[in-house]
Amino acid sequence: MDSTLPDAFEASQSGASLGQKLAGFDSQGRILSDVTPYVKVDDPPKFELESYISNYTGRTRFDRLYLIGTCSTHLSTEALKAAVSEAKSGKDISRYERAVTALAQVAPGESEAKRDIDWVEHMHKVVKAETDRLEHELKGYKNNLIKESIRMGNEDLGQHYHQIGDQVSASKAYTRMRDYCTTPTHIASMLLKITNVAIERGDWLSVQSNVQRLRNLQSKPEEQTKNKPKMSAALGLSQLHLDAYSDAANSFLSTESTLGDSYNEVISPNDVAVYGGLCALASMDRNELQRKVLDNTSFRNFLELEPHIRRAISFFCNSKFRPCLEILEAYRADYLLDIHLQRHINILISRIRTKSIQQYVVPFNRVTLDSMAKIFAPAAVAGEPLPTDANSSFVKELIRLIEDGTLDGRIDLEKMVFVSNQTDLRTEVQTAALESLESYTREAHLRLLRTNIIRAGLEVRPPADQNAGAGGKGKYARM
Amino acid sequence: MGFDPVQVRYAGSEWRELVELPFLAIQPIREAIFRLDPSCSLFTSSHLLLVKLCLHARAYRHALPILNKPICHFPAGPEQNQLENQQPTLRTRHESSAQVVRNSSGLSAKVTYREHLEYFLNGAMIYMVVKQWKKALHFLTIVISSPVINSVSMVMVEAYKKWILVSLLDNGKLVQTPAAISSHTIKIYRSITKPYVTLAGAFESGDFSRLEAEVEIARPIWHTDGNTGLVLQVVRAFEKFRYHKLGKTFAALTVSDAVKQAPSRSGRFTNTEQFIATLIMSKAVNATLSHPNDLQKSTMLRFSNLGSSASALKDSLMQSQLVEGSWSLASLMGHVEEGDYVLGMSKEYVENLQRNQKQPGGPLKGGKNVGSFSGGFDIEEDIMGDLC
Amino acid sequence: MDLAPLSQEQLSSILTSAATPSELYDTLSQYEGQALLLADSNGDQELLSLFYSFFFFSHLLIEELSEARMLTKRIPQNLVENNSLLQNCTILLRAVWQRSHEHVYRYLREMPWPEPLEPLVQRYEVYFQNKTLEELSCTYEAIRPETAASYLGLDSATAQQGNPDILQKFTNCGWKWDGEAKLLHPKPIAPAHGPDDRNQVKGLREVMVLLGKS
Repeated sequence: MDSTLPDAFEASQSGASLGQKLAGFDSQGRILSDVTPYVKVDDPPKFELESYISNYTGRTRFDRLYLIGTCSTHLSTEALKAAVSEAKSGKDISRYERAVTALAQVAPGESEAKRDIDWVEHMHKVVKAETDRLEHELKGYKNNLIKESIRMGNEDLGQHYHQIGDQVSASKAYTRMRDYCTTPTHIASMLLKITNVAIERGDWLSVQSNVQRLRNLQSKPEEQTKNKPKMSAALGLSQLHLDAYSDAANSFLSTESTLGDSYNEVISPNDVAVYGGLCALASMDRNELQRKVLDNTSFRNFLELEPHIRRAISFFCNSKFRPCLEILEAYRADYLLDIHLQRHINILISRIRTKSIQQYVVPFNRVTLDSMAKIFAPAAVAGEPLPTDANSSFVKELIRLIEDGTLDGRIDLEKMVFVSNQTDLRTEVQTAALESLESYTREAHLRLLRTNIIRAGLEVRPPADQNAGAGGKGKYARM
Repeated sequence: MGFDPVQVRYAGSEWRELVELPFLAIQPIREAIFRLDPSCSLFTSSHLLLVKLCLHARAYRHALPILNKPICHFPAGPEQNQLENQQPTLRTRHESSAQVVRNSSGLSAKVTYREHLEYFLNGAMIYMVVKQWKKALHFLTIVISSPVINSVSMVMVEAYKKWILVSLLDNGKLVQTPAAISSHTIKIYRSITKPYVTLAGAFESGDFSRLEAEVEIARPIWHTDGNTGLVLQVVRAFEKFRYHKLGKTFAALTVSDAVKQAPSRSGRFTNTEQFIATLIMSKAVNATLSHPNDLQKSTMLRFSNLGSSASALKDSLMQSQLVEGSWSLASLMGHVEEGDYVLGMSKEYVENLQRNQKQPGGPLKGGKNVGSFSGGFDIEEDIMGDLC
Repeated sequence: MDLAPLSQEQLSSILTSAATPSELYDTLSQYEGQALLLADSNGDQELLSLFYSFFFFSHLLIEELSEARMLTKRIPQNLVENNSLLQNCTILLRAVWQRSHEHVYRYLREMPWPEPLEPLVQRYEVYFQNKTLEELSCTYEAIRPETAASYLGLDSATAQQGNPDILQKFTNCGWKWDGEAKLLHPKPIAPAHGPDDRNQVKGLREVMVLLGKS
């Protein structure tokens, strides 16, 4: 294990500022998105809130409830009420306040929407007392110089800070455990805790570096088998958030099914299926999807939990793009209410769509815009131009894909077809030969001149009067 | 032998006529250059005199026979006579007329870096007038990538400005800066030529209104730099290249759709079809137009298949271009060979050779490595190392 | 220089003896120095303007438009100032330059060109018409007769009414007339003035060998 943990904290600082730019975090590292949601989901989601949230334990429950409550018009009251009671069962006062404020906006009549001053004041006292006690105890352990006690003292303190929502202090406390860890097991548990705090803060670079440390750790085999699926899932999450969808897909796909419910404070096995499946769809070709996803016996266990993802992937592999995209469309609302997918689902779906269009035109020399539109723009929107019109959003999409080089073909608005580009080898070879000959000749001439200019001593020099004093840099001679 | 421009300076009244009517001087000077050195590969002060006269007399075409002969050699500069003296005897066997001129220095006034830079810049300007953009770009590249020692000439900066514009005119985008220019020099260029860099950015963005705005804002600068004409041509080229791009996206579309995709300059071309027809007729765009039966419908614009329109004409044209290109490369090789030989005599080369022979399999195998640039140019790097 | 001195007779004989436009151009360009000297000594204005207009048209006939433009700038300015012939040359050049076909025909036909120049003016009109026809035949796949006519300097209005004489001019070149759709279908005409064939086709192989060698 490397010995750079102290700067690990610095790394997380910079990571946090990155995170702030990406998703919006306040200085305490809280996710700001739940204060001002940039997403409003009007479509009803397919999941049932109660059974959905029962998949999770720990602080992620509140985060998820709060996100759903602030983004979904259908579930806002139900989710925020659940969020209020979730917060009240914990010790994080700021969470409670946020949940109540949000609920008061959507359903001021609800009894939960009134701030429970007694509870808040009581909790303030409890938290203060607990903090003081734990800090005091730790001081005592330090005086006694018993390593194990100091480690545990820091651990308790970290956990406490974590629970009251002070993630920066939690991270610091956990990091201080480092010097008092005596076994790899201790280090592993410490790193996992830091990772979890980092995930909550959205500090994805720190997640990655801590997972890396966990991976390099020489711990007992049974310990490793226990931690490995968590590491893969956490790494996958961080890659998803850093827009590295292909890496994320591979991380989720390599997550062992032994993960089960063991990491429910962060991610459920259903999530692994959805995140992994979507990232794979967005980044892999059909062969890869078949080989790495559908034929992957370990990942199949996850996919069984979310059969529609499996169906979407099989459709894609069988070139049935319309049903594939329809499934994704149907679940878009669900994914927009997912704490990790919200910011990425539109990009992922649009990538899958682009890949579908790309794959669709491959076997054809020419294909009618009409048949393409039937698959990729089935719903004619009233007031919009027909999908095959030059100004329709579908044709505009095709234009964009041609211009950025994704599609190798051209649109024929006379015959209303998409024509794949035919390459004329003879002309191509000739043009290439001519171009390389020209550029070679020019380059040869340039080099010859350069050599001979230098040989003749005709380089551009600073004016003679300045030559005496060592010619400063950056001066240029006047004509 | 015929004509020596130096002598002419003492020829009294005839010379006065020449000064007042520079046109008259062009022909004799050109002949003199050709007679002294039929290959025209050695740069002399007369080269510069000629292109300046041609620019002055607006007889641009008259300079082309000289400009089209690639310069390969330079008379030794002020600090470079010892090298010449090192090989007095071995030269005779290998002598070319270029070397004769080089040795009898009276045939060319002493040249400085400014002269050859100005020659290539002025030459580029002549190529621009006759719209041979590729050659103009090459000449400008020579100027901006000319070797420097802690200094950049204003001639080079002027050339860089024009290089940006000509690059857009020739390619519809900025080409890569030549690798020989140091990043420090490029930084100097870019800091002095900001309006041009911004203009190129606007051009490449494909946003016509942005391009127009940049052109408008920096109008006084284009004027001061004498580049207004070029900039206006860049604006015109923008539309041409936009139709090129359109042809890569569409196989066919109506003229009215084309206008929506690539809006034309407002007001200037009320008749877009005529504008497109002009582009096609002048072979700037490879497409056809077709009037519909129905008078109400817009004319159809069909772009030719990319590449596959290799008609017999285009084929043979390309072939002859290929042949032409290979000839000039072959003649260049001859000069490289000559350069290799002279370099082979220089102290640096011998030292380098000795160094390389100590390590078996070093890059330099034979003494003379005809046509292989690695031989000559490794050494160039060493010369650079010595001087910088 | 063993050139016969510049004179109107000399110009006419150059015109009749030159077999090709480029020969004409070459011969005339040898006289430019003489002309400059003549202008410098305030020589015969009429002769000079005739020479320059001859020289100008010889540029047009070999498609040297930018050089023609440069020529108009080389002509001594005091000569151009009061000379409508040379000014008309510049006006014509602008129309050719801008590919404003209508104006080109109008200027060629309506401007008062001097009698000795007439053969060259007519020759250029024929040349310009042929060139446009070639270009047009490759530009349009289907074209309304009135549009085609205006490009060729024919009467647009009569063409629109389907005048058989005008239509025949096109069908003579292999174009097809679709009376129902009222459209002409051009047949691409290969340019008569093809590129020089003397260095034909050494082939890709040789070039590749050369590239491989270096």
